[in-house]
Amino acid sequence: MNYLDFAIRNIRRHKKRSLVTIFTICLGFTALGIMGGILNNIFSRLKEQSIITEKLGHITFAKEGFYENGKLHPEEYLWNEKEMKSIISILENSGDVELATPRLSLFGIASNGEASTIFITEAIVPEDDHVLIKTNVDGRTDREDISLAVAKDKNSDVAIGSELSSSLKLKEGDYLTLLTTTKDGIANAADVDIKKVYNTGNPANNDKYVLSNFYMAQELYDTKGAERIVVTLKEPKNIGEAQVKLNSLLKAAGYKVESKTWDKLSLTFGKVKTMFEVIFRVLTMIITVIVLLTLLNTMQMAVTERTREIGTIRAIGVLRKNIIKLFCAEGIIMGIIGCLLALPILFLIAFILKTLNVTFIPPVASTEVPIALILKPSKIVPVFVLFVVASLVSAFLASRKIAKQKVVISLSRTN
Amino acid sequence: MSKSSTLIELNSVYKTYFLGTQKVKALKNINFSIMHGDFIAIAGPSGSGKSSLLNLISMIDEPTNGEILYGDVKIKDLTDNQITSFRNKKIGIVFQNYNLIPVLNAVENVAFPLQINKVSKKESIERASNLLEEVGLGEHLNHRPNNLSGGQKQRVAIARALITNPEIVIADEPTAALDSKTGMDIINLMKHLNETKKTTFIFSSHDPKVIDNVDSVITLRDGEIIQAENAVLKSKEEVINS
Repeated sequence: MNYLDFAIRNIRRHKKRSLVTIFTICLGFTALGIMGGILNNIFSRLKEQSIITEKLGHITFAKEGFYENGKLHPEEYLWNEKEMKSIISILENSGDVELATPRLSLFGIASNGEASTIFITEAIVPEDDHVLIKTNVDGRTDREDISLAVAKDKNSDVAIGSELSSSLKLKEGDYLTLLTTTKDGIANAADVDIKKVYNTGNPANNDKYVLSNFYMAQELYDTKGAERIVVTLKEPKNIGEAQVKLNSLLKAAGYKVESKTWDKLSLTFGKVKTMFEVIFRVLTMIITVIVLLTLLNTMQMAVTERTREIGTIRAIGVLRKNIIKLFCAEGIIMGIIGCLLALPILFLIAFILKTLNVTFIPPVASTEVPIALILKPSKIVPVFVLFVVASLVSAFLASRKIAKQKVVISLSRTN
Repeated sequence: MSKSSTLIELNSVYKTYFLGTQKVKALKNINFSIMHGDFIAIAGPSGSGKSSLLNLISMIDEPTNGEILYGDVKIKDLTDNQITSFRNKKIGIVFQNYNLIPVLNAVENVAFPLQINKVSKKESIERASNLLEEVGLGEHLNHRPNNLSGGQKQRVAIARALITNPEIVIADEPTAALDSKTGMDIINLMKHLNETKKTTFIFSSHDPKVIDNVDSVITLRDGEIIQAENAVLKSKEEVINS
């Protein structure tokens, strides 16, 4: 007996009902596909914000214990110039690294001569940052190169966050005084030229962020070294393996280092991702239950209407388990068709959104990005499997009672 | 197989139903044998127990008390799967309302029991087509049940019951939904198949014209056999000895 053929004929027998069921599955799958696609876009933009805008690269290396004690004893966790150059050389020669660049971060008080506020600065090597800014994040490389504002030949050039600019009434071309401490805790100050005012993309630091020149920061901090080395990888998909390999290389060279990937360093990415993943899972469960109940209702109606027919085929010689198989085949077919129909709809919606170029501000960001659906198998395939399993379960639940029913009772049913 | 050998034996068979809290004794102390090649009609008014008896013989129901033997096999010793396979291979069932599967055409309906039994599609369709030719439906092989008349549907149902070459065909009121002429045609077809294929037939009817045209008649009233013409009834001693 060809269950597939028999199941398809039974699905076609009640066209309207089957279509409504398939439409419900399709709708549920489309809804989750859209939600998943938008979340993928949000995660991708946050990833880009972390790697590029927050300058975290893919992996950051620091002296062992830096993240725990570095603020209390900064001088102990600095690499000197020789160490810094050696580590950069090891990383660059590993074969995995696209860029290895030193970093310093400072904080203190920024003043326009009349008012002051706190600032934090990430000190970058400008020519290295031109490379970082072109890092491929989920296929995107074309973005504004803010680091152009921080010229190598003029160490005092900086770019500042737009809210810092507005709070101190500063504009491009003005100067700003940065007051901080050296690595030994002695006060030090520098006048810097505001080359660029820009939105950092992160509302948490847009009112205090100063993107400064690494060499100027070294002078301010009274060091020739660096506190961190940020790297970007040639193959970011293998970030875990690369991290282990690079750690081993540095350890073999006698350096005690600790390394963190960008997602662990980002203050917001992990939390936002976790929150949205939870929302997505809850939504998935709710929609799956709706799909399951819809299919259960359809299957229950089919079972009720076909009770005598089931009695007949049982009388002719179909085993109980094969009755269940038959209904499960019907459920699975409807589940698969519903999901497959949703795929072109999702691609169409993705295409329309791309064409319209509608923008929005993602959570914990302050810059607009295009609304887009990034359709990844990692989100779609589990939902597909879940819906097919839900279809199978609902068909099983609906048919198991009738399969167990005595043949004579099934046959006595008058439809 | 000789006509004298026993196919099915019913020994002290009782069937009791409960309608709510009310106990209904549908069959009381039924004892008789069906021999190979028999053509038996079960007669009696509505509610006399005809359908209950045929349900037990066709193994789609089980007795409350008593024993049914199919050759040497005690039916009550079989599991549900064994009974189902047994029905598929040894018993053909014809229903009063034909009970054809609406999504299958005539030839697919007839081939269905073979396909359950894992006979290839090609062979099962070929055998079903030949059988439908035999019952006079060669022109209607690809017609769905809703495009067939009552008599044609019943012929398809008979062909479906015969396709596995069963030892017995059991028909519950096969002519009840048909006009008298078509009903007689069906009985004559069954009689013809009984004579040519030596298939055993047992069917119920309350139509006197049908009853007049069969060799053996067992008459039921209130769940008991009250008359048997040319049927092998069993004595109390035979039942005890069996």
